[in-house]
Amino acid sequence: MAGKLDFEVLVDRYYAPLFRFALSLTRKESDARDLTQQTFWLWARKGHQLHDPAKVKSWLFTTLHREFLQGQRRSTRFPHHELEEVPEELPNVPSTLVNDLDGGIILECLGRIDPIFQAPLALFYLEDHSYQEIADVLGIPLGTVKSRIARGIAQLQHVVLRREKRSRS
Amino acid sequence: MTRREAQEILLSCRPGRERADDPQVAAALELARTDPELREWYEQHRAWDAAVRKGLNSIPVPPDLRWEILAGPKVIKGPAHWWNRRAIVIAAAAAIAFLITLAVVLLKPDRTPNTFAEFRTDVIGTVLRNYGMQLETNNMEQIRAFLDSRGAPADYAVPRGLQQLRIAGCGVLNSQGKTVSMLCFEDTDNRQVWMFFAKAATWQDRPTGEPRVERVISCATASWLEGDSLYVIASETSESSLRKLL
Repeated sequence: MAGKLDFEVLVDRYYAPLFRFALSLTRKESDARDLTQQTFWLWARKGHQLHDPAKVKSWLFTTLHREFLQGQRRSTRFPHHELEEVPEELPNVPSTLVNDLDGGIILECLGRIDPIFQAPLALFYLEDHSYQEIADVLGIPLGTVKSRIARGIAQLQHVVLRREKRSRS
Repeated sequence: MTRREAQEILLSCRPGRERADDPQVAAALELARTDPELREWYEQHRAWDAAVRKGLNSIPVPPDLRWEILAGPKVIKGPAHWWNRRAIVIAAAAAIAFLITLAVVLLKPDRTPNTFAEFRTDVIGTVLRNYGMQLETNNMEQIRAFLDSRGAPADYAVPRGLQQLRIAGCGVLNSQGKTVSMLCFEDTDNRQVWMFFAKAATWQDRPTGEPRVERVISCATASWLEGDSLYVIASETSESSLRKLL
């Protein structure tokens, strides 16, 4: 799997979604570039240990996420009382607002939701990861993946609506 | 099934690709077909899903990134004797870390915690982010003995609702100088439910004998006191589902 041709094929297939996933976690292009490069570098060194080609995608996303978390652990502590609660009522996002959504706005809003939800949501929307793949990448049970996706979407919608309200006022 | 419950189920599915063989999903879809308000919400949700998916997947990727990756070992690995530089960097970082730690210890004001709210956020945050059971077993007696042997409180009584779930294991946490027993259960959706048990402190905001249901981080929680015993139950589920576990 780790031959030159395979490596190039793999890069062509996954570097864009991996970069987008990294950007959704870090929201800094330079950090996302580093994470993506680091992931492929680790693949070049350790990819031969993976015997099941079907698991390459999960391996790459898991590795990127783990590298991100390691960086986070070095630089942040768990915040108290800074997390946004998910209201019981789900918002209605008007279609005009939905039509205006672009990658930049979504990334900005994704960065404002609870970090617990960011990675599951990014994986949910990027690359059509299955729930099992998301569970494997994040190392959490399947039921938790579903809960986090549902609550993450609700929180993201609230953030998008608030952003819109602010930009109008 | 209520409208809110149906929304919660549909939110965690990919619109248009829901697993109709899942009875809960099928029931939610049926409700979305027959309930006009839910149908309207579901149509909006489909549009939202498509827009977010399209937006995220069209974020531009730096044009030179592919080349940089393919040139990766040259770019990232550094010079041949990188380990010499790395050793120096590690030694310097260790020295700086030591000085910072010393400064923090010496200069830190005497901060006595603490509130019950902080305690609760801390233990839930710990299991959400660095989750790991020290003992994995389905045997409650083994769990009780393990916790007791680790000096963690083990004279808890599992609420009747929670007794219906499968016990998966336990661990011992420490928060605000307090040893906390953590029991992990799994519900029928493979969702984890944690029960934290500690001896109560004199927090002003401590719960009362009546379970207090609140949302903390991504979890619904219920907290209450029984004598000097403090219970917190938490799970990434809805408040109504959590109430059924009490």
